[in-house]
Amino acid sequence: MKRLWAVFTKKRIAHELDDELRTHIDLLAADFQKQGMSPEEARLAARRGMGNLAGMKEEYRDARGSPKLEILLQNIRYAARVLRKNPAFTAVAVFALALGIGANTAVFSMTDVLLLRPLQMANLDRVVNVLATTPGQRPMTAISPGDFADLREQSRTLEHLSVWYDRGDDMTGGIEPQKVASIRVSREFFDALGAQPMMGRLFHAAPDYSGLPHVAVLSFRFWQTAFGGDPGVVGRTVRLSGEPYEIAGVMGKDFKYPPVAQIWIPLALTRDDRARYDAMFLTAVGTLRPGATVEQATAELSVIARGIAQRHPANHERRGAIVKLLNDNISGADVRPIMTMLTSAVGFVLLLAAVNVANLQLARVSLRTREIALRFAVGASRWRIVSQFLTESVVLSLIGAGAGVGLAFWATGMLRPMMPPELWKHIPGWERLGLNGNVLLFAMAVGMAAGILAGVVPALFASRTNLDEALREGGRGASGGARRHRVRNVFVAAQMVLAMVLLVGAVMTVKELRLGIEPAPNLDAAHALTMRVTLPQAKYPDDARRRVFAQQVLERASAIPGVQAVALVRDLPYTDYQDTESMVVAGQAFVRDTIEVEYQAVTPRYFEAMRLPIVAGRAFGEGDSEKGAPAAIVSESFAHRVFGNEDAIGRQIRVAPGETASPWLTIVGIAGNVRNRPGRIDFPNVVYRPMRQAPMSSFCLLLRASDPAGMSAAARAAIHSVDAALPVYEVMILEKVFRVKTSPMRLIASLMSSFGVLALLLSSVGVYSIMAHSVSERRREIGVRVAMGAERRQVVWMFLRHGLWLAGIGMALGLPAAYGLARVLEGLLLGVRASDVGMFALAILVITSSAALASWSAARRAAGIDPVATLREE
Amino acid sequence: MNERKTAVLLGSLDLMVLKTLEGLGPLHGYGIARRIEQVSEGALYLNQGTIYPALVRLEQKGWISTEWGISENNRRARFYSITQKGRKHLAEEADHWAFAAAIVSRVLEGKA
Repeated sequence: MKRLWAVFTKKRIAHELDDELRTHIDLLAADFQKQGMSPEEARLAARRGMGNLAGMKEEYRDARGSPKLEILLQNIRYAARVLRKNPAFTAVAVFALALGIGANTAVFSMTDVLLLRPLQMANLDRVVNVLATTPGQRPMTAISPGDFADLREQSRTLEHLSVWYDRGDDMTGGIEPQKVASIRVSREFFDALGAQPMMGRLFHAAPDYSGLPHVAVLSFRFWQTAFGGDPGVVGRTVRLSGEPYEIAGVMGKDFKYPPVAQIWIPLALTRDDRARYDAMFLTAVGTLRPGATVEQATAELSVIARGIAQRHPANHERRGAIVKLLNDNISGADVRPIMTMLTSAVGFVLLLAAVNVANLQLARVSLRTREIALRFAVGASRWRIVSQFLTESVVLSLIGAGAGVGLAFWATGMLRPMMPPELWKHIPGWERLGLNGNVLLFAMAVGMAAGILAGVVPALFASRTNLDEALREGGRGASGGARRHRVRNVFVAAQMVLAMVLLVGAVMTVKELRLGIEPAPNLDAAHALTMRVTLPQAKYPDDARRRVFAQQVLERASAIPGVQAVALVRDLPYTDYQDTESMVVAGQAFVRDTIEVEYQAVTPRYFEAMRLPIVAGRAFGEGDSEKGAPAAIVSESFAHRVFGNEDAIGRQIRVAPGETASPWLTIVGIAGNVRNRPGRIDFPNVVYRPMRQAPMSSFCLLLRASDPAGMSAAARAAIHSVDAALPVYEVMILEKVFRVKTSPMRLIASLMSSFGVLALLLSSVGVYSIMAHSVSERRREIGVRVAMGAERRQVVWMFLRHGLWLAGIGMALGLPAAYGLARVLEGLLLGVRASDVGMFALAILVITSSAALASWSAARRAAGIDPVATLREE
Repeated sequence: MNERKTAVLLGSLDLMVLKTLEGLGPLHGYGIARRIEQVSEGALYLNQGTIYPALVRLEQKGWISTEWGISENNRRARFYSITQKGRKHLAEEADHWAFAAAIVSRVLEGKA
């Protein structure tokens, strides 16, 4: 600080020194005058007596001023000059660093919005979730009303403890009937989050457990989409599942908790509710009291939870509680490992870029021996040389960071639309993906770090330049040599190792993700339209009424001109509502393990409409009605897993054996495999039931047609002709359903593959530049060889051999490293094996051929060398 | 070289400045320079300007302190005085110097 200050006070210091010197000269002159000189003579003599004032002042400034900062400024000016003078070197280095830093900045901007700041609310450092823990399992957010009542009453570390759950309602009343995510929230919910409405009021004044007002608060986005941002919306009445609610207010744009929320309404917990400890469906959120920490709150709530567990051992055995900051808990548990993977992969890319630039700089050191020697000769210290080279490296890297920020801006712009808006509610923060202050700071910091990383080795080598030798060599710089060459080769090999590891990692992840991307082959999802309805309990209280509704919708939809096949299905693949059940098989006396199955209810033409083949037995028919024998169709994977080589047709199974009403089912057919959840590699066990035997209250309509988009109005009308008040939602082409659901996987796959491509690109640039440098260093030798009659081919081969040799070493070292990574990934991924030889062969082939290509194009320059010209250079 | 004026020995200037300040109390630059020349009875040739960088060095090491005052010709001048730390350093260095000088002269006498 003192030194920094000194820079700004440099003028004042100089001024003071001048004052001091003037006094001195005057006094000296006065002395001389006393000795008998004339005033003029005395003045001149006094000046002479002071010696070389300019030199002295320089020394004075060095001693007093701020040598460090000034040296830094000088270094930067010098670095700028050096970089300008070597545009090719500068361009390659900046290019490599910009790629590395840009990729890292883009990934960091994802981390920033997804993990660091998924929500944008005021008191995020105080808002917490209470999670229930069970030994051996992930903490869960679900607690029972009884838990909530006890925690709220007994906790001293948390205030405004509240709960919410997402019930989901049909909304009607002056708007298009639709399904809304209606969040029931207890009284202090908005206080816990410190939230204020943008418009109107909240309903926290309502008493907690009785006499609930029918009021609702809208989310900003829902207000925009469903009400067109109508400023007069407050005071309007809408119906939620038939009940009237008055709209009390609209929340601001940034209030997104829970992220799925479209509307918030009061939660009624009666005295009876509060005595229930068996239904865990509430999420608890509260605020730390002033002075309390997350650790203290966890400690306190664990004690309270232990008390609850003792009082209610039936459903709370070994259950505990922990407290987590809302901000840390909001992003799904699956986001963190993915971000860790992406961050490490992209870190490797940066490392590769840094090694690349280190190597370029190392090559430059040998070209600059004369310059370095001269600087030593005029008295520069080793430290000064080191600092000069480090400064150059950091300046390069910061320019790279600047370009990288541009790249990251472009990349985040590309990435943002890769996650469709339908998914935003699951990944809060994503829509804010882009550059911000945090991200820019990160880019700067990474730039500095990369600069230092890439500059340290070259700087040390530069500072070891042997003065005598360098000057004798005439700066041709073939010397200094062996060690530096070895290090350069090591660097090239290291780049190959990094590239190898990255490529194998990228290939594995991309393979894995591609495996799970389609539910099944040849579904022809582009020609299928889907929409969902949910029958309200009040209007459709029994199976008979649901059957009638389903039958009528099927008939009317089938009558739409152009429709090829129509079916109803409980859950389409890749939608949100998958459920698993346990199952037993008749004749197996002892059930070793209960088998988990995915349970589907479909109408007869489902397999035709979905293009799922029936591989054995038959599809459902009109005979599989409520009067027929209970029938089931199972998936191939089911048949194979449960019955092995035995015939599954005719066997009997029972789904949900715990329930007395569950009948024995006879297997009548086997359907082709289908994946119901995206990202699952193995096919699940699926049991299909005829919908007439297992009526559903919520299902999808599936229409196959050559122009599915043109069908949507007619299909809606068909449903509304049966029940005009029923919301029809999630109207989408099936292909889009799949695309939306798999977009995170595709995003990750494209990121990982671009890191692989970057790795390849950077390592090729590394090989090329090192070979090109080697060619120019050995010009004279090549000239002699050519003069002695060496052929072009031989010269090219000489360099090509060197490049291949380096690639070979890189592969030899990279293979075990990549195999190690593959073993780690094997544990994380389901569909790929580390023993996949083809994958390694591919990586080796790609890296070796790119190294060969790079060396060859550098070597061609060697072949073009004119021996006469090089010998004349002497 | 028949004139026996010699340039200041490297490193000895600091010591001489400290010694001067210890003996005479606060002085300005000119006073210090003149005193050193007087004491050496003109045997020492001093570019008087060179004492200023030396003064800055000493100040930064904390061996001397400065304050602004008025010189005998009524000009603004900086006055230097030795600090406690400076006295200690001077004592140590003076011992060291004497020791080194004794060795050098013993060697020279022995060989001559």
